[in-house]
Amino acid sequence: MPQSSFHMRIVDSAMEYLSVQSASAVLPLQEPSWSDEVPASLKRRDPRIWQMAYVASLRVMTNLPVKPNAIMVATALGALDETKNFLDGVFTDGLGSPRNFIASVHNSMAGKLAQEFKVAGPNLTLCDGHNSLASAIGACALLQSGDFPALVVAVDENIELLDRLIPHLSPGCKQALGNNKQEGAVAFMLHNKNGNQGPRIRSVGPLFIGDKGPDAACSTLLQSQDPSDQTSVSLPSKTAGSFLSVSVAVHDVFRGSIAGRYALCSFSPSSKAIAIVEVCQ
Amino acid sequence: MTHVPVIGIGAVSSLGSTARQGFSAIVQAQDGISPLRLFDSGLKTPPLCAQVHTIPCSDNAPNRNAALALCAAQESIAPIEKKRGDLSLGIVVATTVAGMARSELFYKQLRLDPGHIENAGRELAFHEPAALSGFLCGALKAQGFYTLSTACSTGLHAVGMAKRLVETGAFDLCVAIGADALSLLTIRGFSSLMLIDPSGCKPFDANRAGISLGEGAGALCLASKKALRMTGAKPLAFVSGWGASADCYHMTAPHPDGAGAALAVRAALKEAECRPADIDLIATHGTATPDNDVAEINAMRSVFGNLPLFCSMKRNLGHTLAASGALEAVYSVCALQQGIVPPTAGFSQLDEKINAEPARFQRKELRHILKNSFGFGGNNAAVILSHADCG
Repeated sequence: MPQSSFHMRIVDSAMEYLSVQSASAVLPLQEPSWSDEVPASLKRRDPRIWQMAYVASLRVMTNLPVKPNAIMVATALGALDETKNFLDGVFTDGLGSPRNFIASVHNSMAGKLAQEFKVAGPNLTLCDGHNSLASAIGACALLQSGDFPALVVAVDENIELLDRLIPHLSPGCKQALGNNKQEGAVAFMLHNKNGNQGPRIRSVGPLFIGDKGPDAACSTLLQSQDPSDQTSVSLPSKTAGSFLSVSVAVHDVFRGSIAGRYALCSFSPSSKAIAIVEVCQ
Repeated sequence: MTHVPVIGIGAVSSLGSTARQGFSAIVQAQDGISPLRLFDSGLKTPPLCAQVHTIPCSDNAPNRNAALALCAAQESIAPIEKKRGDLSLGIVVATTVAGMARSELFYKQLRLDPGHIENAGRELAFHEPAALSGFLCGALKAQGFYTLSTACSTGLHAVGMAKRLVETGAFDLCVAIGADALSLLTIRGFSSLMLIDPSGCKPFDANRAGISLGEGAGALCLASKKALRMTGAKPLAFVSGWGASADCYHMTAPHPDGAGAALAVRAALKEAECRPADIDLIATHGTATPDNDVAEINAMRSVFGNLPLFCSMKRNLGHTLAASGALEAVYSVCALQQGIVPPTAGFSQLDEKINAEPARFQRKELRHILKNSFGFGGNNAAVILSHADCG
């Protein structure tokens, strides 16, 4: 079962559409030179996952006349490397590095982005596995009108330990993560104005499905919506099998100017939940 | 914006396995901390922590954190459990450690024995924060969820987010759940920062020297008008306003003037349509680190001028991280209901830098309580809880 599958019918969500002003991505496997854009001071002292989030955010803000008033970060596992390094310190010589500990918290990327870009408004981190982007967009839709524009950044990193662990995880997790080691950051600038025209996005879920099959659950959810509203174009997924699958696919729609409306369904085996991100270009 | 009713509360802490037990102990200024016995921290002296001694739900949960969260959540929906019918139920789950207490043991063993990797599927199944939400959704028969992790402010953000989810009609009922179990990662982490007071935390006191960690869970069940009508539930209190902000200053140290915190409080007041003078009590974050307590009072002075009554529950409960905002919001609802200003355990001597004393126990009609929570990354949350007559 592919991690993200692209369905034809559009979801009728309780959430309002948000307009997409800009999109960007940092995907190290495809773009090894991405770190050239990291300022020397950050490159020297900051964790790699912070740097990926920083560069994706910097790119998305380029050429926009306004800066964000809110930051929403979507991450499944957060700063894995920092967490591992902290525990290694504790288990090796009894001393964990305070720097590693500070960076290990899931919201460290969001805090760093607020500090770097001076964004004093709401600052939330959503951790819903493969559904994290859907959660972050849902959380954006709950913001007050004065909190927009909002910077949404999906970010996850791969580390050697995760590579070793994946073959030994439960069949569901193994299948969901697959063999793809994709990591990176994908950023969007969202606004609540003009949500009914131009590039736009909204989400449903995560919705708990228990032991129902995710494909069937996604189809049921989509078919329960307006059956007359359809599009038949499917999308490629370059990162099927990573936490960033849906984020990258959404990015491809907006950056590639692929016309149409798409509902992207994701499934998180750890929480037994599906979510749908609907994009219109 | 509307005032959203709280129709159920639940709490598990070192002071008891129900909200009522916990608040009764807080009112008596009961000290909830004792030397850590749950596991070996590896520190020379076991730190003083607020440990939960009995978790009634532990047989039905995959780990300690999930058991804490389940207990609190079940208590919060108990009043309407049999009347839910077709009402939609969502949850907003706040956690920082998620399944770390088990993951760190797995990793320690893995370092010693590479063959232990064969157990990864079982040992790490609940590592992710989202796994906790999925477990709770199944146990509570909820339809959907959001999982938040913003360090020590998470629990209070969950309350605010649950408010908005009910307001927008996403769910008829929404339970905000904050939960964190003690773990080696957090104990050694705060220890590495030298933020743990070896003699136990003393909020706002002149001799305060840091935090005491704790564990627990708090849950508040919020309801739409439709849910109120269909269940016949009566509001215990209202969530009136939520404010969220970032310091943009430092990853761990608060802005000395409390500028970010003040921004969150002003946003919460605005949404609640309250003036500063309407606030009867501030249930502070009050962690008892030298810098945080000063910054919080500076922030409150910048908003309120003359400080309202204020208190801290950290000596009673320990700093329960992502649970703290939800847990202390639960006890704030109890304070509103019973008309009691709780004392601040651990405080005895005025700090001239703060130049204000937390309130002593008193009976007083309380209309609006401001609850604050602040976290790493300069993350700030503020929520206004209002008396049941204020709807």
